[in-house]
Amino acid sequence: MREKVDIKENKKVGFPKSFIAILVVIAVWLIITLMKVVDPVFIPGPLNILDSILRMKDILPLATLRSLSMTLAGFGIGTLWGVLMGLLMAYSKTFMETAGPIFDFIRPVPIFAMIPLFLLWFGPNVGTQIAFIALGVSVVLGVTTYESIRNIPIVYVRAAFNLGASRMRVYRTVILPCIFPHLIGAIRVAAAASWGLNVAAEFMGAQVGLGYNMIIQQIYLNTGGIIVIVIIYSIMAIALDLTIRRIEAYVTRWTERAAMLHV
Amino acid sequence: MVSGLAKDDEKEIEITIKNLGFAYGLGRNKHEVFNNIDLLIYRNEFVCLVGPSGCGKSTLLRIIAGFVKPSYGKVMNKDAEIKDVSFTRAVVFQEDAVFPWMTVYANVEYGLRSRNVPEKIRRDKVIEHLKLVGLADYVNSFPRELSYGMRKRVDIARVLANDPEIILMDEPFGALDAFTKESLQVKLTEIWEKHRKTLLFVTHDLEEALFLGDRIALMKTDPDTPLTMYEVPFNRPRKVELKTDPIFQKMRNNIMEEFRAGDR
Repeated sequence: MREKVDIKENKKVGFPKSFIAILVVIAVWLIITLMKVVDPVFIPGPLNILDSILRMKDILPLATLRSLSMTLAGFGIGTLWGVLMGLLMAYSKTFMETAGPIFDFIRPVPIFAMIPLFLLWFGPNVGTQIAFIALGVSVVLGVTTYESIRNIPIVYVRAAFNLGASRMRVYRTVILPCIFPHLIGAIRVAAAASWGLNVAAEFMGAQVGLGYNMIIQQIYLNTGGIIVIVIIYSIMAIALDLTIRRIEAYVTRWTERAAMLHV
Repeated sequence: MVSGLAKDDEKEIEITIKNLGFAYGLGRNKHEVFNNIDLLIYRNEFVCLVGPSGCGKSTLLRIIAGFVKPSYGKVMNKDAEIKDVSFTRAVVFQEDAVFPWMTVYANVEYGLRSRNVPEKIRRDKVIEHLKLVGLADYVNSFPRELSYGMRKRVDIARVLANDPEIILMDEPFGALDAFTKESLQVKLTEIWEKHRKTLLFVTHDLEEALFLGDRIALMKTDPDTPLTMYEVPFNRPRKVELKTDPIFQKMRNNIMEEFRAGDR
């Protein structure tokens, strides 16, 4: 009998390598600003940034919390809704034939072009903003779910039915786990996009939140304040992405795909 | 040499195929795969369906499994016409059908769980059948950690654990290397000799068919040629040495000869 073959290789990204690039960027920034090569209105220096943080320290925690919860709510609802629609399209021919054309019509519409209509129809409230993020996310995931289901190897589905599984069970135990590795890319793209959608949603007339405060900083030409908010957004976006990758690594531990990188 | 419908009155019939035809496409694009096929399969008999690639043997198996509807004619399982997929007619596919996202244990348990068999019985059956195929030590492994041949054994265990009445194997060893293939043939023979079931084995490998089967049904590329049946005279239990036996070789050559003569 053959020995157990372990194909999975754990390749960790070397920390020093990824740090070098960041350090270079910081160094260039320090040189440019401390030597006053450019006007601080365009690129503010470290003191300016520190000053902005101190001035905004009372509003930032609440604004961050507000933007974070709104984005997560929109992203979560949008993901579930999108996957559900994709699954329903694959499950029911009737659903696909009736609802499909509506989705085909909505999908190509630039989501940001919908902002005025959203404001007109639903008013500038939290619900509208969350719905806006959710719509943007669900469109991406609906299409990806449906397309991933079409690409599942037919033999798995046949084998499951042949072993006596009901249609519901085939969807739950074969189709969902089978499409997950394909969905994860779309989920990560949607997660990144949902921060952008959050900024746009807050431009729609929120009274708190990071996006709203960004406009205030812009009005007063406080570039340092804008950069601080951009950095907060970046940190949250990276944290969300890392969380998704953690979950992915556990859920897709059965796949072999890591082996195909850098060949 | 006897026709596919020559009936042996002492044996119980499991599957009756009568006047069965299959074609795909319509009008000028219509392609006939086979016409007027007749075949009887008895209970607990090992029948091998042999033929060149593209002759329609896998299609015939899929019709018996219930995945594909025939163009005309009927397939009867005892007295009931086969119209749908059923766990009583279990298929071992040529492709790797073991679910890679489930452990070996969960794979073998899948059919039993689908049929709501109680946990206690499930556990016993899974362990019993993993032992049978020699994989009891790999209960918690994921399929990617196993070799292709081992995964095929998981597939066979999964099918056997589900208590089917008929097993349909569609070139299960077709993608294996010669060594693994032979060891799996021996394993399958051992298992089948211990736990007899009605088994239809599709293959393009005549030697494999002679080693495994009680009877061989030869299918030709021409859609209008009926199946030719051969009785395989070798006693059981069969050992791997049988393959080098002169009678075995002679029989193989005779069938091959006949095949070449008819298949132009």
